[in-house]
Amino acid sequence: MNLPIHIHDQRFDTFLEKLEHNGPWHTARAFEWAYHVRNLTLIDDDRSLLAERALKRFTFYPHQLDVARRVIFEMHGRAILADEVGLGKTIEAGLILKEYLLRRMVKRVLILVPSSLVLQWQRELWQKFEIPAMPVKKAHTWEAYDLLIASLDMAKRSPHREIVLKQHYDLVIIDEAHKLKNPKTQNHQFVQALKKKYFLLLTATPVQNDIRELYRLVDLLRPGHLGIPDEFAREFIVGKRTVKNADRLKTSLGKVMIRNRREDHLKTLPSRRVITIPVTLSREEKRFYEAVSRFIEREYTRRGLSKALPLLTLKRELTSSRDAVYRSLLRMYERLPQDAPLAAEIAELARLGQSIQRHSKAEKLVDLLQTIHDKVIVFAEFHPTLFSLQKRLATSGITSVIYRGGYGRNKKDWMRELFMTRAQVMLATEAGGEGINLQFAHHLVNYDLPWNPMKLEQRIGRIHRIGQTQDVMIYNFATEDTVEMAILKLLYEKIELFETVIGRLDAILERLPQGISLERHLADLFIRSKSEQELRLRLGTVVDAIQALKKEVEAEKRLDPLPDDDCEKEGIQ
Amino acid sequence: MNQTSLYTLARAYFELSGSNILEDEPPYRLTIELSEEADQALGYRPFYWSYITHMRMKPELLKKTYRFLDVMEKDWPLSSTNDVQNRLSIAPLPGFHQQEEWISWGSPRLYRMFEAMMNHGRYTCLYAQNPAVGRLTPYLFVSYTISQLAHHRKESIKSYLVRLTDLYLEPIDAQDLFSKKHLSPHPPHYTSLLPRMFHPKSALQRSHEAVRKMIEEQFQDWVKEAEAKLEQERMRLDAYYQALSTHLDKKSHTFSPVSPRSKQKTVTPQEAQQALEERLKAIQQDYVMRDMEIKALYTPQLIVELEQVALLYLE
Repeated sequence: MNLPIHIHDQRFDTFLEKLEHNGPWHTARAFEWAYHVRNLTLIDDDRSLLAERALKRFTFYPHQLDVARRVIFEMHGRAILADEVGLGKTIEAGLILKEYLLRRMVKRVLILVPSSLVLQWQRELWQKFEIPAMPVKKAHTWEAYDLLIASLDMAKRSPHREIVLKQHYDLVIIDEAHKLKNPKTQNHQFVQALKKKYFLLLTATPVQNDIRELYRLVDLLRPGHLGIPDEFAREFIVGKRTVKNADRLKTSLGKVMIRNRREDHLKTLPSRRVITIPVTLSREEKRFYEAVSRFIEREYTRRGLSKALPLLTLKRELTSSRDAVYRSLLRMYERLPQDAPLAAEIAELARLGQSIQRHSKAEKLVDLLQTIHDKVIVFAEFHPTLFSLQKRLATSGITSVIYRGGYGRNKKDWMRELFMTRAQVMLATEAGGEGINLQFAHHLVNYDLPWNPMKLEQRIGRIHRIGQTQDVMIYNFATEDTVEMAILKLLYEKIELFETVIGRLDAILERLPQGISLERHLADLFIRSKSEQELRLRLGTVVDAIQALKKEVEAEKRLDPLPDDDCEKEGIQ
Repeated sequence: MNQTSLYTLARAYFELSGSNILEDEPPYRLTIELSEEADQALGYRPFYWSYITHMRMKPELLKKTYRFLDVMEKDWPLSSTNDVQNRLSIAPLPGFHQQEEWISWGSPRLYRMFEAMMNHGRYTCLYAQNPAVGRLTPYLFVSYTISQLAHHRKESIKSYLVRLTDLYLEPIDAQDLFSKKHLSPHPPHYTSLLPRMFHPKSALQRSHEAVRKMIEEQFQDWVKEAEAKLEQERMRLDAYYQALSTHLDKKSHTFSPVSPRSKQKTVTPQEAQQALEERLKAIQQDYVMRDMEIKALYTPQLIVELEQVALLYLE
């Protein structure tokens, strides 16, 4: 049998040349050290991770190392990493990449992530793994560097698309891979057309609505692993989220996908402590609040549901700050004809607002911040609230940075850096804060409460995540005698939102029928309830509904024969 | 990987490259004024160097402090762990120079050092000292790295000595050679050197043959296994795309081209045929690409690289 042996001996020519001129030769010591170094960097171990020993800047969790080992030694570098949110999929991907680099098995690497996470990826890869990856900004970068990070949306567009599709990549990593679930989309077709050897797909939700989504991801990764679509449907599918032959599917999926669950790995996460800070409104503030509430109620019944969205927003803004309310009022005012009676009314409301001298909530915040000598993240939903707060904090000599949606990725990155090194307070919207990691802070203030529990989860998830070493303090600001207090006392505390393990909630809320937005439902409920009692009653039904879903999830978990396997949970049940 | 400390390695490198060691606190820290060679190898500043050489200016060499991360954390002599944590968390991004740098077993800088060390120790000519008989025989020393490449990479080193008087070959442990024989760049006094009867090229052929033979004896099974794996993967792919196309074909025959749903848009048989052909073509294309990937991933290869060559005069 002829073995595929290739001998590279070009170096011998250099030797002959030196021999001819009798030197210059390398010294005996250099020669010996070179041999020693060669020995030292020899890749002769195909059982354990080199990266584990090589990386000392960062301590990895056992499950992360385990994922890296399995992907490299069992799955041969093609896998779906489907850990639940907060277990460190980025870390796992980084470990795998580093391992392949150390083993000299990959050279050209492409990492595709959402645009807002490009710089975070770059920073994490460097600081935790010492991997110098280059973010792509211009088309020429594609060919000039070996390790690239780009946003998928950019890469799939011309002129980038054509360049990228010409390259051969040793490793392609795709973050938020659930965006590839539809084979008719450009995303999917683009990724399918990439030439890649090793291939990692990262997603926390491999199945969102339909088990077939998972099939498509697997099909992208290892075509034929689950048979052709019809076979797959016949073998495994009963309904959208229900399957048959679950064990066989599990075994099969286990060869291409790894899913760790938070409950199994995050027991060590420090606890959350929740403190409610009641705020009492001053007389002027109360007057303003009530006047605007009345205005909203009346307009709401007059306009009907179809045009109610601005009013719903206004209602939410009302508990945030006066400045947030102003913005909406102004917008409404601008749309009205000059002499409309409504315009006069709005002007009157604005006047009422102006008479407010002291913002009780902002004062409370200043008091609180002065007692905490540590980094604090303050979340609010509306930009005007953030701006007015920054002004107020500045007068008391508290340094703060704003972090919101609409900032470019460089600015966001810089703001985060400033917060880490200079400022005491970060004022953020949850839209802006999506995906960033702020484990170095331990205090979080909910300046207003979003009406969507998922958003609250998102907020807390910024600091209460893997890598957090201290107990996390959560301060909820709630204005007495307003919807805010109701939402806190009657909804969030009832469903034990703050106590639930992170991530349980998404599993629960995922089960709400599609098209029902909790946020809108709540807003509607708050505006339309005639009395306190009615409000309580109707909120009670919401709580009951959520608790019923919760029971459902728990019951199913108990039925699951292999509760914490590597398989996709939702899909199997 | 861990027998030699990072400090020892770095120190060896800087000494070999002729750098100036300013401060030294083994095994934690080294402060260095980099020599020109080291600066060019480690500094990542090619523009600076091309400018300096073109303008014939005196270069300003980098001064750096390297701290080593292989020492256990608890053994660090620094004032507080907080201090250490801070420095670790704020590593500058690549391309930014910093006075101080932490070196770990995964640092790209360390690998630059390794590369430089290897490139400056490949070719040599050495003589045994104090021979018992007054005569030295010429040998060609060659050292190979053999990489087994399939879905994994595994490397081994093989070294040979070929006598240049009669092409006699023996495998040798290079470490042994370095430690037992005292070698020097100058021939010892009062010793005669036997002439080289064969050209080093012939000796190289001889060692190539030997390494080839060794591989054929030892890696037969590995190659077979890897090829079986490749075959298995390709078969899965074949079967899948075959099934896809036949399935598509069948579907187009069993259903009438005009389905009740698309009433407004009547599809002529030709159009349906064309659509089908396009789908089949797309599947074929996809198959070709995936097949290429599978081959790139699983095809076994044995890459033999000549790493070091030396002319040795031994007893």
